[in-house]
Amino acid sequence: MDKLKILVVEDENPAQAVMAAQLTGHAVDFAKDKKTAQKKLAGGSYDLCFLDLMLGLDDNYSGLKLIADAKSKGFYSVVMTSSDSDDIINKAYELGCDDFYIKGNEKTNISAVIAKYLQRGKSGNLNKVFSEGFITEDPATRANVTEALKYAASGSPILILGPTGTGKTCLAQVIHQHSGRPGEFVAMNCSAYTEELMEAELFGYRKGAFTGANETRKGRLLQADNGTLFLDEIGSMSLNMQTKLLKAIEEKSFYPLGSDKPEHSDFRIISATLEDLQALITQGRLRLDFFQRIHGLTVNLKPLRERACDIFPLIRQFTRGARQLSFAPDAKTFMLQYEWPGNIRELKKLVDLLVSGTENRVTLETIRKHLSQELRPLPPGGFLTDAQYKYAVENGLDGAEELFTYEIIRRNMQENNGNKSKVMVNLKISTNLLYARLKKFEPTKGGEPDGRK
Amino acid sequence: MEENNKTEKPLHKIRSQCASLKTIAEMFKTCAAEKKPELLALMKEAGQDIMDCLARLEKDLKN
Repeated sequence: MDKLKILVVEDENPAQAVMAAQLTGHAVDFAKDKKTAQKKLAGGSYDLCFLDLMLGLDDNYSGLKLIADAKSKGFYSVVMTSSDSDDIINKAYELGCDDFYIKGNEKTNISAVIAKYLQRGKSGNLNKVFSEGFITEDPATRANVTEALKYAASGSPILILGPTGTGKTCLAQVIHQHSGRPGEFVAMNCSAYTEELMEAELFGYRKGAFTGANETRKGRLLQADNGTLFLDEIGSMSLNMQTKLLKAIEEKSFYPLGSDKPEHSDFRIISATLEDLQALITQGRLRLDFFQRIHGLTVNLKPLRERACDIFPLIRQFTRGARQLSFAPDAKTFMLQYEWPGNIRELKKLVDLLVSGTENRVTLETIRKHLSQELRPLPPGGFLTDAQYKYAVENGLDGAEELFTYEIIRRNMQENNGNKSKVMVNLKISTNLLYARLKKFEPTKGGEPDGRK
Repeated sequence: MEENNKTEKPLHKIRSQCASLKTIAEMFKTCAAEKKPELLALMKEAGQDIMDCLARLEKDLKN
């Protein structure tokens, strides 16, 4: 989130300490009395001013009087008081304060105030979000992102679904920027870690906790205190890790590895996946209680081929400050009709190649040449049949792989009239592999094939 | 407005310090050990302020 410049006008030391704690991560200045406050307001530049209503026991509502000073400089002014009197609240608004809260629940109140301020200044202008933060001109995607931003300040978990390269991390960052949470945005790709590494990475560890732990290290959970923890590819997290993380989410505390002292962290979870989480639950790979904890609001991001209107705005964004690209009409048409299996990531890679090239005008031929070098991901489930999948689940992956290779060998042998040499050349396999599979699966006299269950 | 009420300001102050006291007490539970003395001092300061306001209210009641 952006670091804000904030003035807190508060005479009580304990209240100042509370404000300092809640505004960690921002540049905070304090004033204890009206005179100092007026001086700082006149000479300084602040995004937000928190004004205590009464500065001292015999003060005559200085906070109300300071509203005018803050307004004259265009600062967003917030009156804070322990009075819930309607007269006071009405008076504060009459004098032009932007927000008002009653002391006692600072954490929630201050987060809400900052989120409201940011909402007014930034997502109040959603066009800026869609032209600089999350680039899209697609009406449905804009509606989804707008909906997500409404929940940005709530602290509720958000689950972002979408194929690879559709901008899930980018959206998570935009949500964090509009959350009002002063802490860091901490991103972690769950598929990049083994269970042991992930535990150390998430919870941190003390020096000597395990072989190689040469120093004490802060985990991602603590790093995300008062901020956002973004967990990408959440579906690849082990059941054991899900249990541990669930406990940390519920209790807001956890034990770093090798430590008997709990750490506390107030982090907001945004998770993302390209997998069908309901299917993972059915398969027993995702705990239902963990799923319920992470899927407060669900945002679906469409693949790039379904929002082709975003292709050229994205290209403009990628080439900002770099060489501008000019596309031949047939190249444009091709790009608008292309499938983009790697989505925005694939587009970005293409643009990087084009920008570093020397062509003044990008032709269809160049586009085709670059895109044909891309590895095509298989469509989900398109290569794998249900029968293959069922067999693998019942007999293990090794058994399924053996049967799979045997059936390919057998078919190729039939097509080549049993010529084993041709099969080995065609399938690029060794003699050992060919005979091993035939021995295992060819029917023996008067019996079933010994390899097939 | 409330400023006309003689007891309103001490009561206002008491509510304010109570709010701070409550929040610091929550922070105290989870803060690092080296931070605890500082928070304890702040809680004592808030407590003392509340006592001063109560004394003032008491005095006003007697007069």
